[in-house]
Amino acid sequence: MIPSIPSLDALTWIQLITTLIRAIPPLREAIGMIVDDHPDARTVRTILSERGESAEVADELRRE
Amino acid sequence: MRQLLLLGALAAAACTARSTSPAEPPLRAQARAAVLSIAEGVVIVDKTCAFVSRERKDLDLATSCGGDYKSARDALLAAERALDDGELARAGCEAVPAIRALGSMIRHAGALKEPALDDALAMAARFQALVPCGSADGGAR
Repeated sequence: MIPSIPSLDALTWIQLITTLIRAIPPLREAIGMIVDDHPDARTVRTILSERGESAEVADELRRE
Repeated sequence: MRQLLLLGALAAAACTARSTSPAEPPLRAQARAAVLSIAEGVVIVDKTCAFVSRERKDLDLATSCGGDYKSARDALLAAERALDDGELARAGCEAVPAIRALGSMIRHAGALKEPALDDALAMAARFQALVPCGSADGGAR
């Protein structure tokens, strides 16, 4: 038989709330992982393009 | 009475949750922040190097900075992959050429005073202290 929620005793409530609060950090971490996978997330690849400006200038100077 | 008990339980659980959460960000997060900061530093020095090379029509400087940029990028990408794999010791080793390349670019481009570059250099030093190349305890925390 499944007890209805109001029939839970104080100890069960405490256990339930403690469990919920302990579940928050892993949930937050999971959300963080989703954000990391977002294409707009900052990564080395988004900061550093394949060729730097110096390489472009070197090409220009070679052409001159 | 039940409400009081509930409030007490909530307060106790919140204290427990707070005490178990780390005061500092995990080592891997700090290392990742350092890698990204070094990447920002490379962008800044590369732009300066490009400007100085163009002004002086200095092909050697542009070529040298272009090579250092590529070395730094390759190394930082490898370090980032190592961090993604949770291998901090490997990340430390992979990042070494990037830090050297950044230093080389700064030397070649001349003295620079840019807050973000200061941050990049500080983060590079922090990175090397956090995850020294070859450290045995370099597991992700």
